[in-house]
Amino acid sequence: MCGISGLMFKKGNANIGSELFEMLRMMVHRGKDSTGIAVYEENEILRLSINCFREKDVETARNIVEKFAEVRDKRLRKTRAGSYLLWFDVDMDDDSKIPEAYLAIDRNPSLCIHSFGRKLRILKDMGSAEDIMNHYRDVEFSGYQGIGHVRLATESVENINFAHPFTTYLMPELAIVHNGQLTNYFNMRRKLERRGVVFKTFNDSEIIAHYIGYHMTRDGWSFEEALERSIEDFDGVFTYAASTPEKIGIVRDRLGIKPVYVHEDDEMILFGTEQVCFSPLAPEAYSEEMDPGRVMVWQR
Amino acid sequence: MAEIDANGLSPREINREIQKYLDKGEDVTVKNPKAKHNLGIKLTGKGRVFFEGSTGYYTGGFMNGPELIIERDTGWYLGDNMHGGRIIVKGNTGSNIAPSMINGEVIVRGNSGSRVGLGLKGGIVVVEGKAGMLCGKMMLGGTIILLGKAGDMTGESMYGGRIFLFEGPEPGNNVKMVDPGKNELDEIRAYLNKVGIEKDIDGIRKIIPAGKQHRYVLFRPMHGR
Repeated sequence: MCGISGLMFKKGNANIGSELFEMLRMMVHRGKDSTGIAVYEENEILRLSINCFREKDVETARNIVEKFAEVRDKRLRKTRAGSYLLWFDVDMDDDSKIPEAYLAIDRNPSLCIHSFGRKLRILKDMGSAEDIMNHYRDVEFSGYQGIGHVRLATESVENINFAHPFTTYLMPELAIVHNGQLTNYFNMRRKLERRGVVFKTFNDSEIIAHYIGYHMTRDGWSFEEALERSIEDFDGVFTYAASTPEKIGIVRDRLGIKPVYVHEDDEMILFGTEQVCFSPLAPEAYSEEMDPGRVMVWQR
Repeated sequence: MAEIDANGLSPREINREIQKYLDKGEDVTVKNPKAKHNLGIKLTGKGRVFFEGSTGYYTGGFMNGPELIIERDTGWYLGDNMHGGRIIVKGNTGSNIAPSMINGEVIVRGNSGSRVGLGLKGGIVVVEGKAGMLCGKMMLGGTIILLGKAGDMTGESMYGGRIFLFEGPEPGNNVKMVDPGKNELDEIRAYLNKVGIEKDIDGIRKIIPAGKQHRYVLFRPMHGR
């Protein structure tokens, strides 16, 4: 059991990080092993967020990053999980080199990239939404859309790197959050690995990011097409949300075992596993449950 | 009318407050329910409870007696195992409403999710708007009335009871679609009139079990007893 939520403002920006955490805080009963958000900011600074468990790996990370880009700014902080979170603001001439750099860092077993993008910022840590709000009180995200997740680990270990949202080196600006179980995870993973996709964790949700990223970059599928075809390809019970800087999409399995509610008004689009998570932003919401086996995509 | 502000109260405290008023025979309004879960659980007695907003999962579970009126939406498992009384939802609901309901009435004025009346045992469930797939799955008794567009596989594996719906969706396995008798139609019309739903039900059809029950063959060992 996990909880997902997301929002998209039709116009303008907001303090989207705290608004997502407020939504997730209402769903704390759906899991407090870890909580995470992925937000999209208007600015174009290339920012990298790396997690490592030992202090000496901080230097390793910096060395690899400097091979690919010029480090403008660096921040280091301790996470609730006891690991070190590194934020680099970097300059890079060629954005097409990002996947290569992403993979080079991620291949190091003691490092794990949380996000690497111009608009995408991910903050994920162990604990409930409230714990993380208190721990990262000074961190603010001003953006126009975002997705969030509260996790109750069922399929893999409780670890900061196994927390949602997940990204993929194939398409660094893509983020996904997932609620449910993918029962054909190992078969799907083998299929993608034979085609050269490199996995980082053993969390079944990670495959969704790689699946969408792989087919959009290598097979030329559109975002909508990738989501539509994932319903056929994935087995199990799931609802997941995927987001790129332009679009946000939600997918529900054909059996409709995992819930997802949607509310749309003039200002924003909200969705979440339970209606209770809309109450901080839209207490007057009329929401509707999404049909099973359906895909909904919004573009700003 | 008495009022309860749900802000800052736990579901258990809210339910206890509601029960106090119902015991005195008073109606009560609950303000700011904000889609909290487990509201209206195991209420008894007579009286009406108004929720001025949305409620969450398991609204009205194990209830016996009162009438709940919900101004907006509700979550999954509305009226779970309800024994009696009436729930009216003016907005939409989640999936699995009235699961294993034993008796009572659930009326949804908006749309509902999948599996309306899952394992229903008795009572009446009405959905005025759209209903999802697998309505009346494994139901044992009672009545489901779907006045809007219903999803596919309606009545899948049902053992008893009846589902009224308009033609369109694919019925589930082991059921048959028949025309309801005149008495039944009059009964439904009278009921809808009573609860204030104005809807023409000409051409409504009925799904009942096909009568082929599963046969379980007992395992007999080949040698010895």
